[in-house]
Amino acid sequence: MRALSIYILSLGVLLITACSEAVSNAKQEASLPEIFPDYTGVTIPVGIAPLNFCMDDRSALMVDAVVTDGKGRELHGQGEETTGFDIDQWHDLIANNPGDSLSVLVSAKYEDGWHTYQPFTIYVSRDAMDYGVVYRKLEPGYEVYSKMGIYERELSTFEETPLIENTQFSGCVNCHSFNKCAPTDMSLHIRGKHGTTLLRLDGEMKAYNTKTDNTMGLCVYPYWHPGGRYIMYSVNTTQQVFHVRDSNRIEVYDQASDLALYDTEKNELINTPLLARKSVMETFPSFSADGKTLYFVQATAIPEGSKELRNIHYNLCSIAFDSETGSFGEKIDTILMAESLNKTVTMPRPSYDGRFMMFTMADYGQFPIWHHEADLYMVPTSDLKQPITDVEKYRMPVVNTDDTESFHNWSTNSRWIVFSSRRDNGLFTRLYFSHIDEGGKDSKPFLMPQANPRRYYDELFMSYNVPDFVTAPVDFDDIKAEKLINSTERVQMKGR
Amino acid sequence: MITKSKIIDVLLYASLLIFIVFAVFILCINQDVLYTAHERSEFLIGAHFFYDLMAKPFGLFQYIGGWLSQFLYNPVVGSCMLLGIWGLIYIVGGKAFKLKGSATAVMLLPIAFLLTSLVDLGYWIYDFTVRGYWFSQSVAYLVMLLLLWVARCTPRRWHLVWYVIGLGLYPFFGWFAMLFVICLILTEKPTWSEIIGIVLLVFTAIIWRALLYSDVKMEEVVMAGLPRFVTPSDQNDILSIPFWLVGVVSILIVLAGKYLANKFVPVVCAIAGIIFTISFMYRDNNYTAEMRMMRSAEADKWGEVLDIFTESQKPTISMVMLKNLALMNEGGILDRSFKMGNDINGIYNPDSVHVSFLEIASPVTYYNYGMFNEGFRLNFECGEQTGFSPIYLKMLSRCAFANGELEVVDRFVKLLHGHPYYRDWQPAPVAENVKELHNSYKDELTGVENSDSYVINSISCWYDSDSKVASEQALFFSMLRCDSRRFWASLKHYINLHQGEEFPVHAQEAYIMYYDKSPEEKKMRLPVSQDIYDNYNKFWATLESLIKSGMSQKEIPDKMRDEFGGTYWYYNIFAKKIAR
Repeated sequence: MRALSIYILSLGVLLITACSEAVSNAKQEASLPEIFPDYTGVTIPVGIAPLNFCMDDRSALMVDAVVTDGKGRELHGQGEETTGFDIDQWHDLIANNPGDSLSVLVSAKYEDGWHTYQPFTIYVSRDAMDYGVVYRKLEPGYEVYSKMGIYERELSTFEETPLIENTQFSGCVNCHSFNKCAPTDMSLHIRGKHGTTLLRLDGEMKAYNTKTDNTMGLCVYPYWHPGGRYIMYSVNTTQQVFHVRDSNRIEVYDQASDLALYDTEKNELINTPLLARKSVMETFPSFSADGKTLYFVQATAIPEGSKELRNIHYNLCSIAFDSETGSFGEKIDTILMAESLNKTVTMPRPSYDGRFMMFTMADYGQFPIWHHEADLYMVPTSDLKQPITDVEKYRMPVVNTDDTESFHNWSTNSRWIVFSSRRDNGLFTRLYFSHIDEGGKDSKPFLMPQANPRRYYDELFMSYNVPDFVTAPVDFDDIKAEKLINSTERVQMKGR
Repeated sequence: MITKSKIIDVLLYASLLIFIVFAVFILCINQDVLYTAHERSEFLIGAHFFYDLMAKPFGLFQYIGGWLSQFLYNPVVGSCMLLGIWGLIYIVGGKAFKLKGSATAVMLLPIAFLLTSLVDLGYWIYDFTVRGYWFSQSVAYLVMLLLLWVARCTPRRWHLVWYVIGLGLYPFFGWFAMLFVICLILTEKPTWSEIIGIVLLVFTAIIWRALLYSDVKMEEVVMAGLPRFVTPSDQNDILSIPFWLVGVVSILIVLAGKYLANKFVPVVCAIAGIIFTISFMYRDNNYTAEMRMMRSAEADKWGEVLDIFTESQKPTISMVMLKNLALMNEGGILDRSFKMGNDINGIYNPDSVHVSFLEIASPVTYYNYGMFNEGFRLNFECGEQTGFSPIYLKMLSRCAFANGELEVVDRFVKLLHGHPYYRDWQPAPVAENVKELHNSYKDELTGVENSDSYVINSISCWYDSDSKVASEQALFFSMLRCDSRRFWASLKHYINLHQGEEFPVHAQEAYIMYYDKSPEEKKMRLPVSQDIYDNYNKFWATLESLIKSGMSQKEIPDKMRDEFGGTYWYYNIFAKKIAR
C-alpha cells in the first residue's frame, strides 16, 4: 500500500513537472505585474492559505511566480490560469518569515513569448489571524431569495463548510454572531415561516421566540457582552425600496427600531426606555472591550410613510452598562454627530483589545452595503471620550476605495479586520482582510484567497455577508438545527 | 400467404412507425416551447454550479440535463437528441426487461411519458426550478436501463452486489437507483439476501442523507430527482404523473413481461402512448405566440413582433405590451395601436400557476422602456428563483451595459460565453429610443411593484419630460389607462414637442372623447379631422340605438366591433383593460 502511495505521488510529481515550462528569453518589463487579485504590497498573517493569483490580463497564456524570502528560500508556482502554489511549501515559507517580507517575481507568457515584471513584496506579519471566518453567502437579490447559507471558511486552506443552508427549511438564514469569535456561543436569526432565533450557549442549542409583549418585533442584530451572559439585540421594523435611476439601486431602512438586552441566565429580554424611544431609531449595538459601555447608532425616526430617506442620519452614541446588575446609565452620549455632517454612521465595532472603534460611514441610512460611497473609519478609543468633530481624519487611508466598504469585524487579537467590499465590480460583495498595526495603521487589504481566484470569483453568483472571525471550527449540528427550526416548539423569551 | 409472424411484425413496425411520426410531430409543433426551454434552463460553466448540483442526490444527471438543454437553442438539434435518447431507451429497455418481438413495443409507454413531460408544462415553463429538466429524466432512465441490462446478464448470485451498487449509485441516480433495485429484485422470486437488500434500500436515502445530504429536506431526499412542481405559491402534482408512470410501468413490465407476447401489444401501447400524450399536452396559440414575440423582441426584430401579434385573435397582456413596445420602435403607436387592439385576454392556464406578464415579457419590456434599474432587479429576482438561464443573463447584461456598469456586464457575458450558442454574444448597443426614455425621467423611490400596471402607471407619469419619445409614450399610456387628467397634461406637452407634425389618429379620437365627456377643464382647442368627428358621433348614436333596442351589455361590443373596434372609443368603453 505504502509502495503504491509513493508510486502515485511520484507519478503526480512527474506529471506536474512535465507540465511546467521554463521561463526563457523573457522580455524584462519595467512595471509591476497587473495581477488578480491584487496582492502586490499586501500584509498577510502566518498560516494564511496560498495567495494564488492570475494575470489580470486574460490574454496571458501562462503565469509563473517565484516567491523568495530573505534567506534565499524559493517557492515556485506556475499554471495556465493561476500560480497554484503548493499549500505545504507555501505554509513552510511564510512560517519561516514572520515579521519579514517575501519577494514575488512574476512572469507571464503571451503570444509573443514570456514577459518578466518587476518583483513585488508581500509582508508577513507576526500577528496571527484566527482559525477561520464565518459568513453568509447569498445572491445579491432584492425581494426574493433562493439558496443561501451560513458557511465557515478555514483560512489556512481553501476549505469551505456549510453550517446551515436554507434548503433545510423554508426561510432566510440571517444575522449570526459569536461571543468574541468563540464558536461555542452563537446567535443565529431565521426569518420566514419558521422564523426564530437559534441560540447556542456552551454548545447547547435552542430555538427562541424573541417577540415579547414589551418589544415591537423579533430580535435582529445581536452583539454579545464580553462576559457572555448578555446579548444586546436590536429590534427592527425594516423596509426596502428601490431607486428608479440612482446607481445605488436599493434602500433598506428602518421604520422603527429599539435595543433590548437579553439575559441568557434568566431568559429575559430587558427593555430599557432610554433605548426604546418611539421618536428615535436605535440599532447596531456593540459592547466595548471591557463591557462597560454600549455603543450603538441612533437617528430621528422619519414620519410614517415618508420616503425622505436622505434625511435619515444615524449618530454614533454610547451609554454606560453595568454587567453586575444588567442596567444601563442614565444618559446617552453622542460621540459622533454625523447628522451635522450630512452623513450617517452604522455598524460600530470596537476592537477586542479596547484600542479602536471602527464603523462605516455613508451619506444616509443604516444599510450601507448598497451605497457605493460607504467607507470604513477607525477611531482610537481614547478619542471617543469627547465628541468627534473632525471625522475625516479617521477615514482609513488604505482600505477604502470608490466603491462600497462595509460590514467589518475584528480578529480576537484585534490586529486583523475582515470587511466586505464591492470594489471588484460594484455588485457582488467580496471579503477582504487588512492588518492593523500597533499604531493603528491599516495595510493594503487582500481578497480572501482561493485555489483559482479568477475562476472562483468569476463563477460565484453570490455575495458574502456579515463576516466574522472564529477561533476554531464551529462544529454546528445542522440536522439538530433543522429539526429545531422546522418544529413549532420555541422557548419564549420573557419580556421585562 | 401472410404468415402469423409477418402479421406480428407488420403490427409491430406499423405501431412503431406511427408512434415515431407522432413523436416527431409533437416535437415539431413544440419548437417554440423547446427554444423557450433553452432560454429558461440554467447551465453555468464552472465549479460552483457543478458542486451546487452535486450537493444534491441526482445532481449529476441534472448537470448533464442542463448541459444538453443548451442545445435546445436549435430546437431541431435538441429534438434529434431527445429522439436519439428515446430510441436508445427503446432498444436498451428491450434488453434490460428481456422483451422479445411484440413485447418490445411496451417500451413505447415510458417514452410516451417522457415525451409528455416535455409538452405538458404550460405556463410552468416560466416558473419551475428543476435544473436540467428537459433531458435529465430521459438520460437517467436510459442509464438505469443499461445498468439493469448489465446486471441481468450477470449470474443470479451476483445480484446482492448489484443491490449494493444500487445503494452506492443513489447520489447520482436518486430515485432511479431505487427503481433499478426494485426492478432487479422483481426479476426473480426474492431470496432472503434480496429481502435484506430491500431493507437496505429503504434506508438508502436516510443513510446517504446522514452521510452527505444533511442540507436537503428529508422528503426531497427519499424521492430525489423525481421532478416536483412547487413554488412558494403553487404546487402541481399532476405534472409529476408521467415520471411516476415511468416507474410504475417499468415495474409492471418486470412483473408482467411474460404476458406481453401478444400481437396487439404494439397497437395498444402506441395508441395508449399517443392518447396519453395528447391528453396531457398543453396547447394554446397565445402560449406559443408569446414565446415567438419574446424571441423577436429580444433580437429587436420589432416587425416580426407586430406580424405575430396580427395573427392573434385574442391577445394576452404580454402580447399587447410587446406589440406596443414594437410600435414604439417601428413608429406610429398613436396611429396604429388601438387599431391593432389593446383589449386583453387572460392566459389559458388550467394549472392556475401564478404566472403573468412579469415572468413572460417584462424582462424585455423594462429594458426597452429605459427602466434599467427595474429591469436589472426583475431579471435578477427571476434568475434567483428559477436559475440564471440565458434569457436573464442576456437581459442583465443589457441592463448593466445600458447603465454603464461594464464590470457587471463582464460577469454575465462571461457566463453566457460558456454556452455553445452564445460564445460571441455581446449586448446590443442601446437604441436611441431607449436611451432617450431612460434620460427622460427622474430618480424616485418605488416599492415592491413589478407588474403591467406598474409599467403603465410609471410611463404615463413621464408627461413633463422634454423627450419627444417620452411625451408620445406618456400620452399613449394615459390613454391606455383611460386617465383623462393625465391625458390633458400629456397632450399639452406632446403638442408642444411635436409642433408641425400630424395629430395622430388615436390621439384625435381620445381628444374628442375627453373633450366631450371628461369633467376636467378643457385647456386646448385642436383641429380634428371631420371623418373622425363624424365617426365619433356615429359611435355614440349607434351605441344609444343598440341600448334602446334592448341589446344586452354583452352583445353590444360584439355588434359594434366590426365598425368601431379599431377606435379609441371602443377600447375606452368596452375593452378589458390592463389593471390601473
